[in-house]
Amino acid sequence: MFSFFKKLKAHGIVGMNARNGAYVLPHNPRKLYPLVDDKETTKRLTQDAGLNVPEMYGVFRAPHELKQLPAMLENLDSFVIKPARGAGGNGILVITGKLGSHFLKPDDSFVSTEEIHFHISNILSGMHSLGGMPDKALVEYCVKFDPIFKGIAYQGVPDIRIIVYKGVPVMAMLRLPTRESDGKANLHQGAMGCGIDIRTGKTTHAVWKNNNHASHPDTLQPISGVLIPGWEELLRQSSLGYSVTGLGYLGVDIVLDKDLGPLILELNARPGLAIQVANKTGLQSRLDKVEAAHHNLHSEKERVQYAMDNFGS
Amino acid sequence: MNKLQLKLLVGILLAIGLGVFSYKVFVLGFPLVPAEKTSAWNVEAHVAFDGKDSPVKVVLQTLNRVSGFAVTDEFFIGAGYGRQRVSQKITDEKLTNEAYDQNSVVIWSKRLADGKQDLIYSAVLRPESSDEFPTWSPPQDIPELRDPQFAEAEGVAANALISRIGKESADMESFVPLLMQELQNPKKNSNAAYLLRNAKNSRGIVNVAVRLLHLAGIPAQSVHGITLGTSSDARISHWLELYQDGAWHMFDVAKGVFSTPVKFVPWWRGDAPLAEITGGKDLQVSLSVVPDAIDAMKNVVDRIETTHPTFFDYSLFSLPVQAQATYRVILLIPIGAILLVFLRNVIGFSTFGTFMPVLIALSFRETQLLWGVGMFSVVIMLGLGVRLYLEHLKLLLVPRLACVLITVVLLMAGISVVCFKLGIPRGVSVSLFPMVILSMTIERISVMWDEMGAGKAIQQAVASMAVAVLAYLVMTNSYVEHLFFVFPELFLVLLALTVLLGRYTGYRLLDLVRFRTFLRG
Repeated sequence: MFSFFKKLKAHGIVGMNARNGAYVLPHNPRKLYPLVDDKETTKRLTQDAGLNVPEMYGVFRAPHELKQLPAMLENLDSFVIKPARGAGGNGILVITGKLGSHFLKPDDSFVSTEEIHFHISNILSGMHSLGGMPDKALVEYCVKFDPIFKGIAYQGVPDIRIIVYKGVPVMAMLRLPTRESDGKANLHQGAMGCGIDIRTGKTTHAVWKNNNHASHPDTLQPISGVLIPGWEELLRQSSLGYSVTGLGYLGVDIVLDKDLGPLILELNARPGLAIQVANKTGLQSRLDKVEAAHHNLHSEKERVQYAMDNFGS
Repeated sequence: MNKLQLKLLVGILLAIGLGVFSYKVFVLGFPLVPAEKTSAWNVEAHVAFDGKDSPVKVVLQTLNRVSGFAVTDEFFIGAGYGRQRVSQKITDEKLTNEAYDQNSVVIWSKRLADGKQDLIYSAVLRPESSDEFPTWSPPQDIPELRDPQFAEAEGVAANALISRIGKESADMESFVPLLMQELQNPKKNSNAAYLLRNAKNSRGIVNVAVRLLHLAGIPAQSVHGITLGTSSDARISHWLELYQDGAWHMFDVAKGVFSTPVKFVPWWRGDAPLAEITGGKDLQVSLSVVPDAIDAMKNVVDRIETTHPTFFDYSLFSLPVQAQATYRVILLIPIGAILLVFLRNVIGFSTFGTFMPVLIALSFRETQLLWGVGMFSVVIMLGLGVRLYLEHLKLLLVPRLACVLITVVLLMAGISVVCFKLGIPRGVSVSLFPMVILSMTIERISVMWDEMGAGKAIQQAVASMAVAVLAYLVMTNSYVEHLFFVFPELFLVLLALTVLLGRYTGYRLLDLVRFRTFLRG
């Protein structure tokens, strides 16, 4: 068994205890958490710093405000409802179209206004929030994903997760929804993780349920070699996430919109570790390099340049 | 700097904990393992009431005529109270039986008592033959029948009842259970209902039964007592002593059968209550029984008391018995918590809630393991069913949670009633389950069910249950209990280990599974 641990160590794998004890706890002061735990706050913050975020149509803060829901939905064809304090992609309802009084979900099923109403009231009472605290529900722009992912995403929006350590993007992956993940982009819900080369912005290889795959399980399209457009700008935006929040160990979630380009969806103070599996490499050596070099990196540009020079695969 | 502080803290904790521990073991000679047999029992009655700023008198039955046991080390604690120990005639509603003439009571009195009052009676029961556990044997004297003193209308009802049961039965063995059945379900029979109109509790029913038995020509006597076993909330159980054909027969009122009492200690006889009060209100008596752990360490304690007179003044052994029994349970909680830290941070188990498995494990203590796991699963499954149905009604979250809670309470009450009817006494103890925790668990399982699918939800539920079972096994281990009760300083050692675990940044065992792709090739 100890030889197994040694093997993980040799690969430079960062484990859950190490993430919490050596990175999250020391570099993400508790007082900064509210900045990223509440998506409304995050949105304001990132917007003010000049980052691109999906437009917000409205916020529901209390059950009585739900009276305005029908009027709001009247004018919208597609939108996303999400809890402000949700975690792990829970409680997100995506509406891609409208048919009469019913709304279309990405899996081609319908929901009524009443069901949307119920969903929001569940969010408000804290069903999806950490610790069951009362929550807010955000209604925002539904991303029209870039056709570049057409062949490799199934019923949902693929997103890009970048781990940023002290402002330097250290590792990135593309998360592809599958039939099994129900259009969600979370790996533990069955989405596919795909490594991205930090230097070129090209996808490398994919891992699904801990096995290597060369193609998407639903569309059977090859996955590697897809170039993410505007990669350097994406890295810059993620690096800005650090400048804006001050969180030393940060996960930045970005989606590519076909009209609006990269949009920052979410910042995460406790990003998961599956990115290592998707990239088939451990985080440890990259984190160590940043640890040694970050004093000399003063702007986003320098940080991104450093990342591209050092973390290519 | 921070690391130095950590090392220093851990070092100090380890030094103190292990230091005191080894001093007690090697110098004072405390036993490391619990004694194999517990021969003596600490019994305690805690009387609490509110004074009304007036003279007050409390009468409490004390242990008396306990065959097979010697009552020693009796203590009566009541600050500012006058106390006398008197013998009292047993009166079953004016019906006196000379064969068991006397109860022994303590009378506490005070001229002025105001506010909350506490009185404690404690005694040690030692078996007269300490070789093996004694069973109780009833007295051999021949009793006499007495006039049950029924009023006219009562007499008619009593005669009607007895003659009817007499016709349905063949002998005493069939007569008594039938009679008790009638009295315990008086709704079916108006005669029984009339006779029981003033009997408020099970003691009242037993006393009516005794008078009816005398009327039927069977010399009988009620006996009230406790069953020996570790409990901070012992309950009085009622038995009948019946004399026929030159021998005594014991009848278990709760079970409705003739049997020989095991581990039963009679406290008093007759129709008097355990405690009576004049001049006060809200009288409450709680009883506790604990095996005498000090007895197992008697030699050590005796020796240390002469050499270090104050040593035990500040140990857990100086607390009242009831508090000791409570601490025996409370001290187990940190052990469960530390086990959980290990399972989560070193093994990598994920469970519902942080310390919920520990609480579930605690409730397993009340029900025993298999019953606990069975009932836990049944309640969770039925609760989940209800929760899934409520989902259709589109209720808001908090009302829905309240609905689940109400259902859980009803379910558990139902399970208790059914189990009781089927004669399964364990089913009744389900009522001690922490219901709120169960409903929260149901809610969390169902939310996870919605979001991550049934597989993940069931997996987590089973993991929580497994951790709870593991915690139960550790927490009910008699060696563990003995060690931490006799050597509470070991908690400092555990604290040190927990602090170290808190800084453990190495891999978890289940990281091997997560990152198994890196282990290939």
